[in-house]
Amino acid sequence: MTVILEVKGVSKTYKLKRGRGILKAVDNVSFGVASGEIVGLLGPNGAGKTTLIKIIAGLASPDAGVVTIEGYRTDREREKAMRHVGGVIETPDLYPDWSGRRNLEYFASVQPPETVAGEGSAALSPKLRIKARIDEVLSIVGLSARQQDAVKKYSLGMKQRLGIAQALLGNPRMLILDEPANGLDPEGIREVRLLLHKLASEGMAILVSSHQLAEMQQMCDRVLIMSEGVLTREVGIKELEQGESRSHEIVIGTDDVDRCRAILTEKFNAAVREGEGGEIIAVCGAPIAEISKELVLGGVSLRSIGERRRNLEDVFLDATSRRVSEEDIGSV
Amino acid sequence: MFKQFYCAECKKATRLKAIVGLLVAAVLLCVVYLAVVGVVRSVASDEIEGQLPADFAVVRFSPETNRIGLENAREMLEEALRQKEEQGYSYYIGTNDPVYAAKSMVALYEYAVEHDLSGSYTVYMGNETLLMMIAPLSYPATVAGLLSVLMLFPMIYAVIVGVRSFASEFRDRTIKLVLLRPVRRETLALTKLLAVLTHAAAAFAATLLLALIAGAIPATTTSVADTIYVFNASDAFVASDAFVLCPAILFGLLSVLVVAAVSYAFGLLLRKVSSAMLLSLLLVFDVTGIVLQLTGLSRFSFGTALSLSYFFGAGITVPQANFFLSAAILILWGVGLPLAAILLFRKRDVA
Repeated sequence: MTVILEVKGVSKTYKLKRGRGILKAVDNVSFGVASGEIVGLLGPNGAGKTTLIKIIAGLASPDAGVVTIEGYRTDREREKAMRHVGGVIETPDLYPDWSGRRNLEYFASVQPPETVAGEGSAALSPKLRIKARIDEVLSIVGLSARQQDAVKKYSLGMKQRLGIAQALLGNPRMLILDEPANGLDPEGIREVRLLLHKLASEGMAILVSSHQLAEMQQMCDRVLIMSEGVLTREVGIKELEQGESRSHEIVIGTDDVDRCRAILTEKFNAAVREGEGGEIIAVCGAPIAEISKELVLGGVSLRSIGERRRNLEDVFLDATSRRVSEEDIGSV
Repeated sequence: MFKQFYCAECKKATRLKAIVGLLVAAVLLCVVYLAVVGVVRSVASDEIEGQLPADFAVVRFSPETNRIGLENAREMLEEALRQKEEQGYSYYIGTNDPVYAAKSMVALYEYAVEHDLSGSYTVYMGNETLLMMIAPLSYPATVAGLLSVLMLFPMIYAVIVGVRSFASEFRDRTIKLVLLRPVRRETLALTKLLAVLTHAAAAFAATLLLALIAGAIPATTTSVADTIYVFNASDAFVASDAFVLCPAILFGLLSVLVVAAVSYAFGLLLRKVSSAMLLSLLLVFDVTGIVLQLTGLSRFSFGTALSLSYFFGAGITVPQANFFLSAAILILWGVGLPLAAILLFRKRDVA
């Protein structure tokens, strides 16, 4: 797969008002996104996701580091880089009094006609090419029937799809979407997800930021977790679902909490924490049978013991509650 | 790309509600203006009847000297002549009252006759808008008079279009999607500026057309003095022939364009519709100049005047002021400020 987006050592610092010091919104972040891949940027509010997205989209400039899109540096060759990118940053803020089509016509006018091109439109005049491309993107996002309606009459899902349609006008190699599922109902979220999967299957690289864990797990191939401006973990969704990569948990109900903790830590080198119901949760690679045997031999009286797969939420909580070292992030 | 974006931007910048509202207000003002002119001219005419020769003087008023009473008119003329001789510029006499203006002229004329100065001097007086009421009302004079009154509307429209060009994009957050296009920020900003200027010029043209139409309606034919030229400081000429109407149109157009450019720059710099609008209107109505005068800083008030003709006779506050200085200040506001805003915009982050 061809790498479309490369982010290397990007940092961004903001001065806080009233001399309250500085805020490192993004701190030495590096990753890449390849064609056909949907990569999620996950993090709690204030983690630095939107700042990072804005830097990638050229709306903010980094203090350090380099962003390249299709080999073009966004700080030096912004126009060339942006020819390969379409995006929706935060909410898809469109012109509400205009129709969906007029919105697209306006956005198409703000870029060179040759960049607004669909398949097989090379022979057409610029005007016809733009018209054809608008028809095409409206059809891709399923808004052809509502194209003449004012955007203020659109549902949130429709606005989101129109936002994606404007992002697709230039037939980009990469799509950047910030919180695409925000405010959408389940049907709207599903629509956007299916659309993104379709675009990725056609070779588009997609970077999606969100704090909706379940949605990211369904939508993405890979998730990058950010916390306090730092990229703390990279998770492959397939690996997560297949139970690899430290992804299974043993849930133990017992009154001998201290003894249980000691055995799990010493014998299995497990990461142990206490669950909301007082149960012990251990993350380790050992099979449940072996763990239960050792606990019983160690004199721990068990009320219950069970195994469950870790999901993205568990990984997310791990990654955002403590910073992992650079090695944990792995190369991308 | 430039052409299609420019066309799209011109279409987008159109403020239909503002156009309709301002047009209705402008037509109403035309009616009121023509009615008032008839009444005031009649009163002023009675004051001046038979007391001035037809070729008396070029008269100009200035708000600077409104405080000076009629009894000082002779004294001021003497001072004006002395200053003109010594320093090469003249003093002012100002008023907002056309009847007072008529009386002043009579007093000045008497002084001139007494000192055998008839025909050898120019007395500058102020208030541009109302003085025209005692000027002869030829068709171009009426048009110019109407134009100077109606200039308010293209100015306001220029402020609305200029400020909203960027500030409303920031307010509605549509700017993010616009900036994601593969186009240089400066190209984007300059195209938007050109669209704003086009709108401002069109608004001025519409106002001129309205003045040309309304001016054809006969209001009054009373002639008070045949050669009282009112060189309007911020709006328009009033004169007895069409020739002097042309500079009025040019200066009016220039003022509207500068106001549009300045409003655009405020919108781009402040990114807020309300504050940019407020600041622009303060400048348009020269509130900044008034504040500077009230605070004893009147010598700096020339710096906030968005008009080329402001300096014709502005010697009382800025003795060294002249056409070139006012042109330089206009360029600073109308070209320098937008360019500075665009240069800053190239690098600024979008929140």
